[in-house]
Amino acid sequence: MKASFQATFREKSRHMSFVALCIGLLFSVVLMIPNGSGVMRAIIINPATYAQANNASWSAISVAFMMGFFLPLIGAAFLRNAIRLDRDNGTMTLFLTSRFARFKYTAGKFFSNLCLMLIFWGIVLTFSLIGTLVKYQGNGFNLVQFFLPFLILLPGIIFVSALTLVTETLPGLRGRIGTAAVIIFLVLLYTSDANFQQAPSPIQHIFNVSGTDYLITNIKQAVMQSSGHQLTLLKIIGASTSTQYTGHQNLVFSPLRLTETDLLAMGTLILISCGLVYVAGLLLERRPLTPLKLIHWKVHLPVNILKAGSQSQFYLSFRLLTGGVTNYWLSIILLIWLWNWLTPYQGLTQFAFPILFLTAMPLFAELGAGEVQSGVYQWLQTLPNGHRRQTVREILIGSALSVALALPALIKAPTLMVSLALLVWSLQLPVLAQLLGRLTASKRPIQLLMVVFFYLYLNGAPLLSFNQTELVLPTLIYLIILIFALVLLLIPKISFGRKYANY
Amino acid sequence: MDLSIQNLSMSYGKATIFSGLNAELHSGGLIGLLGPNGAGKTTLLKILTTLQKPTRGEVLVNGTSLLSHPKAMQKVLGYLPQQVPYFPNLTAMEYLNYVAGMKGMRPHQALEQSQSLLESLHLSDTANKRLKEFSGGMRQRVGIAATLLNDPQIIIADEPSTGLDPEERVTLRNLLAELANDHLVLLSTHIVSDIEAIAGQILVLQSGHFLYQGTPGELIKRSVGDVWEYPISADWTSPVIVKQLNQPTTSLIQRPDGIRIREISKRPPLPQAQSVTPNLEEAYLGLLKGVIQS
Repeated sequence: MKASFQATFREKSRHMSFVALCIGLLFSVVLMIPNGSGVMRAIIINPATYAQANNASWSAISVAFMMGFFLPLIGAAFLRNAIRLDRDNGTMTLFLTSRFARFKYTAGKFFSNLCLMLIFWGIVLTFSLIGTLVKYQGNGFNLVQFFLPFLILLPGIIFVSALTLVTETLPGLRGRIGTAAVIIFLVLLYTSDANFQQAPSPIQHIFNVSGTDYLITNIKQAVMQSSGHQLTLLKIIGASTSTQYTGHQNLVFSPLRLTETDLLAMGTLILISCGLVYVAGLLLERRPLTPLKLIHWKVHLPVNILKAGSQSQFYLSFRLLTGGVTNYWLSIILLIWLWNWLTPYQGLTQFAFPILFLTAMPLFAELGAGEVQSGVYQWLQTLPNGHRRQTVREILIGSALSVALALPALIKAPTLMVSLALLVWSLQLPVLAQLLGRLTASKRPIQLLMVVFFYLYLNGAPLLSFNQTELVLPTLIYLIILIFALVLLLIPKISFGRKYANY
Repeated sequence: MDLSIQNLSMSYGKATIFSGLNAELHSGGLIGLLGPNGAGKTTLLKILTTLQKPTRGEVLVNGTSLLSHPKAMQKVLGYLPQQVPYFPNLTAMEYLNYVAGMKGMRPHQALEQSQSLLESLHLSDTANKRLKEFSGGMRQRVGIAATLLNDPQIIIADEPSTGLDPEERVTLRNLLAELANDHLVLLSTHIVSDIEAIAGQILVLQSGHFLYQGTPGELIKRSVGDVWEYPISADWTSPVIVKQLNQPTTSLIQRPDGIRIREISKRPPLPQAQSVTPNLEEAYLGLLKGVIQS
């Protein structure tokens, strides 16, 4: 178990993506500590009654709320290859030919996952503490009140560490589909928990991975105690354009009070997590896995057409983009795209558009990363203008895909300015995806970014310009991102492939 | 085509990979770059293929500096790296068409050459299979095909026979030998049999220097009188025999009358040892171990 734990932990913690995540979390703490003013606010609670974020007790509540959502998703994306590492490099085959203690193996993997998650948790905790003390200068700071919202995240962290492990052993969920399924499951779990208007069911209470139940209860109690009123508005990362910040009353949160039922629910979740680790050991393969034969629709063309014609570079670029997903997935994307055409504009902006782009996420994730991971990008350096050709080709195909997906929204947009704004957004997305993929040689950064982006959008953040208001600033930002990413991708001196050269 | 290596040196911090390398390479015969693992062969090839810049020195391609004009090399280069790059979800044909596009070839030309290369490398039956379903040897052959697209004048291959079965190795050897007639073909390997009988010139790299530059025949001539053969006694456990077998310059060979030891040594290792004609591998080993003078 120790060997499995050490090897996996070292392998993952020495990867650049781990360092990048830690740095990203560090900076994200700045966004998570609440502000009492500004366009975007980390947390908004009954703004007509209360002055927002005017004391230190708001800090832990705000950070824990956001971490309750993001940390499981980060875990799902980052931890999901603990076993695949061994399958990919051939060590699993070696294990399977020996007396292999599978339960110790999976336990070691679980503890490695948990350790990595605890490092992320610890970084957020530490820097939130520092940020809070600096911002409020210790005024009204209560150590117990600060720590408890972070402690309630631990059962969820344990659960995610186990869930990502067991899904790696389930047939059909071992690959990218499994990662997407885990992420979607966690998002659904979160949205079912994060409803302050209804009391959670016992099952919801147990699977309260994000700790939102306890936080919402704490907020409700604080609101009731201070004003005698109900909680009427709770927003996490909300927009403020229509919200009236007229409240002046102080809202101070007392330390979380966990009942016996709460502790039992947490304990149950931890037990379930241990059970999942055991199940992972049971389901772990006994022979090396053979790749699933994906069903591909075979298009039978007459032989002479194949010989006479040529496979155009555009077609090949499109194949590179879509080759990693099954035809079923492509069909789903197509169906959702058609739904975008048929649905009214309001439905499109609220659901159809985000779902379409989230479904197409695996395609955007191929940009930039695919050729670096395969070694082709580095080899292209030996061809005249090889890098540039590949980059330009990808920019064109990525942009074509993105604009094609956004076409229903572009055409249905109420004004030309809105269409242009959406066009800018849809052009910057694939270019940014390509830049991130090229820089990190990984498909995960853009996947994570898209999930976070659409989560914030669905939560009311004015990130997409679907109406005439709030057009200029977001469009300007996307235009800057587009130009910046294009410049970085096309500057010949910046040769990203160099540091990944493995031959 | 002419490739001139002039006083080439490469260091990473305080670690020197090689220094003061000089060589003149011409088309008209395959050039073998031999050396043990870690000698710096791949680093040298990376410099020649414009993937890396040296710490000092110069490389000229037909008189043009590769360092200041890398495109001069890229236009005529076909590089086969040690680990063949490929897109797992493309078929062999699609991948070759993609590479052809990257090389600026016209579609019809690309299709023609791709088909021809796949046929000559015995891959035409699997042209429409995805590369992730290929065995290692098959992928190696696709990599070779990709290297040869657009008829590069300089072909540099880094251990190309890795993963190939004996028949495939012979096919590759013959293909490269044929190309070497009017191309500059540089083949890096640590397996001497890959270049035996086809290399017109060999460079042996060790400890940061060329230990030898010249023809294989000349190297073999130098080792005449330094290779001995003697029969192995029935007593395998005798300390003398055990000591002999543990020498790095010793190999066993099966003869009709039994097993014999071949040893590279300045002096006869045993009284019953007879001097025999060396082969290229023995000459190379003797050079590496210092038995044969460089």
